[in-house]
Amino acid sequence: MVAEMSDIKDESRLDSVGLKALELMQQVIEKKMRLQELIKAGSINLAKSRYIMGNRNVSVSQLPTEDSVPFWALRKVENSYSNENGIKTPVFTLLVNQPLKKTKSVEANVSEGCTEDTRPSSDPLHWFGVLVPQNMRVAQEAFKKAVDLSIEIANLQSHLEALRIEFCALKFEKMKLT
Amino acid sequence: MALHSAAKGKLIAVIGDEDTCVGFLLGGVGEINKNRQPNFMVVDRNTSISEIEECFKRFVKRDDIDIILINQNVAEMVRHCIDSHTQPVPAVLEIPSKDHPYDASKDSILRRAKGMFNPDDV
Repeated sequence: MVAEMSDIKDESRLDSVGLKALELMQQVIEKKMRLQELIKAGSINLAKSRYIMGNRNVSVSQLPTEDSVPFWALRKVENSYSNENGIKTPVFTLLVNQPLKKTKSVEANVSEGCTEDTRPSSDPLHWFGVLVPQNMRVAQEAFKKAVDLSIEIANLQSHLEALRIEFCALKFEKMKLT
Repeated sequence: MALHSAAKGKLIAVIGDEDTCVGFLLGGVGEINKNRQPNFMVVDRNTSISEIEECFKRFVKRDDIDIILINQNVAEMVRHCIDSHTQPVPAVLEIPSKDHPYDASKDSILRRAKGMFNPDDV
């Protein structure tokens, strides 16, 4: 009688984990479609900026290389772990660092106290010039949203992976009983 | 104080075509660390598969990277590497590009999750 009860409990847990995984898969696909729209919108605005500024002025050649001065990322992630049914799942949260404007005090800080690895970052728009077209700012906004969405998707994916592990474990238990 | 706190957190790495890299770096994820290692790789038609593989493995090994964004068409080139990466951190996200729309049937994570309901794929 007790064995039967735990059997029913396991099966209903298996069903709920399976259902939750399907929901998460649906959410991952929906969010990736939204990400696609953002990337497309950003790319169109980059193309418009390229038309205004010239082909070479909006390209890889403007990006920093290994020879550039080290700098921080403005958008990073903070990682904490949640424990869902005994499975360690990472949870990512966005960490936004404001670009530092070059005031006298910051310049002094940079030259005095900061080593190369602690150099603050300026707005990435400045890599492409001082007067950038409005389209480039619109593209930047689209890609900022894309970064935020990517973190959301990463969280969904980790959750999905944890559910998959739990589902496999429950299924294995069920197979052992039968 | 502000300078110190700005160095916190982990990175989002990008492997993708020119527009994807330019865009995400414009979004503020780019960093060159003290060892002069960038957290992005631009893939063009001259980039070999071994270079992409090497870069992906390097990003996976780096402990300052928590999320790797990779264009799905680039991920297709190094599918074996992506399928063999099963650790939760760094999380690998296959993202669409302007030329290659997202195809859920190719996504490693979704294929693995689909295997839950199809015993042949587990």
